[in-house]
Amino acid sequence: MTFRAAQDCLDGLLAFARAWPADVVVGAAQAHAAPLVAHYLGASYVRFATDLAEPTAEALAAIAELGPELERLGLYDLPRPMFSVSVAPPSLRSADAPPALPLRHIPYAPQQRTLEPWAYTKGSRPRVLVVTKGDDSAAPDDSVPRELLSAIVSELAALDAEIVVSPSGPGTDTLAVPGHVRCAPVPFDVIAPTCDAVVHFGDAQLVLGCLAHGIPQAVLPATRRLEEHGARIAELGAGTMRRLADTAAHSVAADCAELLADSAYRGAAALLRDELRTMPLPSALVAELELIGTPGKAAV
Amino acid sequence: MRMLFVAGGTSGVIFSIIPLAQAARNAGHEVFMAGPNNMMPTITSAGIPGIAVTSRDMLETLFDDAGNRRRIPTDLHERYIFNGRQFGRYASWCLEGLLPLVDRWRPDVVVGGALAFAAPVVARYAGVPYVKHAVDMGEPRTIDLAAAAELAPDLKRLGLHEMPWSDLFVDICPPSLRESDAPPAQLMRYVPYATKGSIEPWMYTKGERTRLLVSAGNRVTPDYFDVLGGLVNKVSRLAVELLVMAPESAAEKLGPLPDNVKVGWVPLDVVAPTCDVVMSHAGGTTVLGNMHYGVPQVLVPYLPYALGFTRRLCDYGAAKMVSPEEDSPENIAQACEEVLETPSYRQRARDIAAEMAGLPTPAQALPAVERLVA
Repeated sequence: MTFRAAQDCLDGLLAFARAWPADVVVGAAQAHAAPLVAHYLGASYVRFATDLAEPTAEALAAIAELGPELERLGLYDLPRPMFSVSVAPPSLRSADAPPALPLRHIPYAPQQRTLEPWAYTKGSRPRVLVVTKGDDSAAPDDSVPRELLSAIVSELAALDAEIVVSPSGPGTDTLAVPGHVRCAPVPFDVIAPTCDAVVHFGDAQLVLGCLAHGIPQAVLPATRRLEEHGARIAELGAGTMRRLADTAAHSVAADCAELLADSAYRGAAALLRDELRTMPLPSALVAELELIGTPGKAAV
Repeated sequence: MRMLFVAGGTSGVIFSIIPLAQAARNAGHEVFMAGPNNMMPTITSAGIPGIAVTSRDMLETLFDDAGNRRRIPTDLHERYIFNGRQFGRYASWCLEGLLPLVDRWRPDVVVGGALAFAAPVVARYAGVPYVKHAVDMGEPRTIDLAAAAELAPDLKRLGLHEMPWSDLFVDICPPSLRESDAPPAQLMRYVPYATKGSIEPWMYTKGERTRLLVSAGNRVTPDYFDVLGGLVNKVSRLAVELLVMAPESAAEKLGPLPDNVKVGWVPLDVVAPTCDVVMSHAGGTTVLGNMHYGVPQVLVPYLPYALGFTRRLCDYGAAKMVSPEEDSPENIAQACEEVLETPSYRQRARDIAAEMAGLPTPAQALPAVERLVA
């Protein structure tokens, strides 16, 4: 939720808050209506960085858009959170990121009505998962050209590995793939335990998902915004990163071959997985929320 | 750790085991829930990967192989045996899909809903611990024994001489309502869960008037329509708000409604906190859900398995029973009035809610399951 989204949500949120007064408001970091509705209710506000992103100076523009709404509520600035929560493991958090309670990332995906056995069963060959991204006319900067996607899949198909393409994003469900490549949507949390490498386009949920399962990743960010974490993954040895703009399909396949062949990648990914596993579980965070949500304790 | 949850065949009993499955997922475990194909949306909409292990559904257990509807005995003991055999048949169908599933996806532990009798069998087959998870406040034990009898051919095929016992029992019945001889258990707080549709403001907000909820459950029989229709007529003249929780199709059948009556499908966990009294057929999750929110209840236990816990909740003082033979709209309305006018019902309902809130949450109960494997 950025720019106009907060304004569009606010009236509905305030009406809802009057009918159902919450004790705690947990808002995604970009959901700037959350601190406003919390202030309106006198409830505690917790800022939840649901991916690897930290508040950026760019967010100030979105907040500036909210001037009239702040004025309406008698505020001069967005209310500060009681605390922030971040799912970024320490190794991936930037040094100047504001303090936040760590939360272990648990991969979540919408489930499907039917799960075929292949989705959760590993064959004899290593498995490479490609999570596609669409040719999105609504967000052209973030798009992956279909021809490049097809070329990458074709090059990967030549590896001695089982290739699974999980289409995600506009227009990718009809992607043409070589005959022996599976192309079917499958929930990431179901297939992840069977994967030996994942190719994706920089989505933070997938960066984190691969870390949670200790899978080496080949990251192909389409925008500069998505590059930073791919670069950090490469730096930590848990994968490779290439800017999509200057990537040739065959070099992606070469990267994947290396991810499968060189056990150092798997080792580095396992180290990061172990780091993730030391982070507090959601149930521990809920206990913190209960504490600040208890009437009378909020002032502590 | 890999945890295989084995679900029963109807949404109510699946709702009961979803909180522990979600807690296990949120603790980083790999969780699958197996069930019949027609229940997949109930499972997957809770964010849990679902595996369809049979194409047959629970209702089919009422028919013989020739497609004739089996006669339901009227004698209570015979009816428990009949019910047990139904669950046994359902379990046998589930095993067809469950055995190959655990050959491919080897679980570390199997958690089964209490009436999902395929769970102990598949756990033994896989050589892993079996956790029995209560789905309500306990059923007559004759049901378990009859289910085992029905499963005898499957047990024999797998080289078993009896139903494997559970390595752990997770019970959601608060201590005050447990039977005196109830087996030892890891107690767990009951967390109301129900599949959500779109939620409207009237569901979670209460007006000035007393709010009475009548839950018809999933089974709306023609007889029951007479009861509902009678109730609607009766309360339309009273200064109360009546919510009838029934499939949307029921609204049409009930005809034009007065403006203090609403009919529709409302998730109980959304609406219960706004209710002053709830009348239902004593389905396990409905009763527990209202107990969780401290709502006094009027219970008509149409299904015989509910008789035991209905009596215990009435003895405790948080509910009033109307026996199914006496379910006239007059009697039900009178019982609702009595519950509304006698403060002790609300107080006892709050007492049991407080007791339930003090029990370990699913996340806190989970380590008992984890320890079986460690």
